[in-house]
Amino acid sequence: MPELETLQHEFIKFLTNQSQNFSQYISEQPPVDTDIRLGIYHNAYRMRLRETIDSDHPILGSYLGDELYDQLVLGYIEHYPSQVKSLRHFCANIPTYLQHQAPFSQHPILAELAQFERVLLSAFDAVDSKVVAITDLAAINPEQWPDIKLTFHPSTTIFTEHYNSVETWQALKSEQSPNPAVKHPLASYWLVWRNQQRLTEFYHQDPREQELWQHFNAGGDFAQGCEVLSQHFEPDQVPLQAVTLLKNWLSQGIISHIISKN
Amino acid sequence: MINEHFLGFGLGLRVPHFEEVIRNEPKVDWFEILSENFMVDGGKPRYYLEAVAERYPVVMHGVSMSLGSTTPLDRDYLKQLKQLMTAVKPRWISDHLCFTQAHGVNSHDLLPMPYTEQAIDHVASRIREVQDTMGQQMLLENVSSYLSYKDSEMSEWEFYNEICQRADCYMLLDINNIYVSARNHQFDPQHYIDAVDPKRVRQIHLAGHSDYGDYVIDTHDQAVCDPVWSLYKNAIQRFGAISTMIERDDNIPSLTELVAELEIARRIATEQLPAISRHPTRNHHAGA
Repeated sequence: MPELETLQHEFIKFLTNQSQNFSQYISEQPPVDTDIRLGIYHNAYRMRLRETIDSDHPILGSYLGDELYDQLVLGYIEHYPSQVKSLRHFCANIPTYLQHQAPFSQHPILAELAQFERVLLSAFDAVDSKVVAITDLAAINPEQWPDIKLTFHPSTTIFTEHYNSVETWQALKSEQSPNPAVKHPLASYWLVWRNQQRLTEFYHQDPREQELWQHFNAGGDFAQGCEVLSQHFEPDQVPLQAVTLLKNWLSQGIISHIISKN
Repeated sequence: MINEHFLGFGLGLRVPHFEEVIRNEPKVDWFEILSENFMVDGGKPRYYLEAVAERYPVVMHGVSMSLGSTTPLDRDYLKQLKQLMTAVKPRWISDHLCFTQAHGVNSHDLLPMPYTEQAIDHVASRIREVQDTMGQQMLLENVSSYLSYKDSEMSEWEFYNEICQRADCYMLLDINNIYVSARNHQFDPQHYIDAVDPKRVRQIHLAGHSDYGDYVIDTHDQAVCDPVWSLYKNAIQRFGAISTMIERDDNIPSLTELVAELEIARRIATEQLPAISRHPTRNHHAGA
């Protein structure tokens, strides 16, 4: 079906600014010029993609200001013609684009800020799952504790930041001026998840909690988790610290299953 | 005159109305969802959809099947669609007579087909393939268009009729799209309605558009205009009781305002066919 395939390819090339030959396929229909007719489709493609970026990255837009944001939108649409069926995924490469494309690449916080917005979106519509209540801990026999393993809610993820990007996001969200971008001496971690009211939440994790979370998330058990914490606490404090963190996760509603051998 | 497929008068389910639909259960007989908006794993969209589907009949309307594309049908998309159908149990599914994808790029717009014999064969065979995969007949919607191809060999309505007949699918007739295309291509919209095969029309879309004088754009951001209401009246006279809904995708008003607009459709249709008021739809209001 070469004619139909060629026509469709030419239409798409026209939409993505790769060809100006498409008008040869179009009938003249006065009084409306062919350029106006084609322009309706050309504009609609860009408008729909722009609305998607607006919707997915409102805080990034506020941070950039109108001029740079326009530059981002135009540049991204040209560099990344939509290859996705669902607009939900169209902006997936915005962090990469910001990371590598001048002038955005000169400000690494931009890619990080965009990545944080994408992490929030992923938590928003991640798979549903039940969560374990703190009262369920009572059902675990003392001899089972060393072997228990955890499954976190599917929306749970760790956002790693090297700049004050979450603080910047929070300031802009509450319509305050953000502090200047600052690089942290060490990476910082935020736990992001969707709560039982289907709202996205996040909090800062200290490195010790982060290590234990990574341990459980990789399938480790409670006894090994205590060994992880023993690098940071006195031996007699370790079980208490581990249980405290576990209870905190339960109260936040981020644990879907507690798996014990028996 | 009124068959079992008549659902009454519905609305497109939109995010700003999710909570109110569940809380107040407005006087709407059924809802149409945009399938792609709910092809996500979980969270609020799926929670609200399932809650609405428990309360109202639902139909699924897609924008990404790209029935006119020359690339193979997207099997992953069809699989996701089928999964959503299992969860929602829609009365039917629909998509558009257009293409939205070529050479790996998605237009996210409903791009018109050339009205040729070659395109009829191609689209009809793809619809049959979809129907075989889904295990049911689907509805095909006419799109608004702003250009005509030199290659076209027939009118849009001849093209549309022929595809639906060869594919043995139903029609989702968008009255606003007929009006928009009629203005843009200078044909008589009534002629289009008179030419459509009445046996195949199962759903009607109504919507608003933006009028730029010499041309019209299908923006779904305005109320339904008088000429479209007039065409709707004629359509009901010709096709009988057809499940009718209003689409609004931008400049979305309150649910109360949309329900009031839907009452206009209910009144017009009931004036043409008084039996509609006695038909047991979800919100049966005799004499409404």
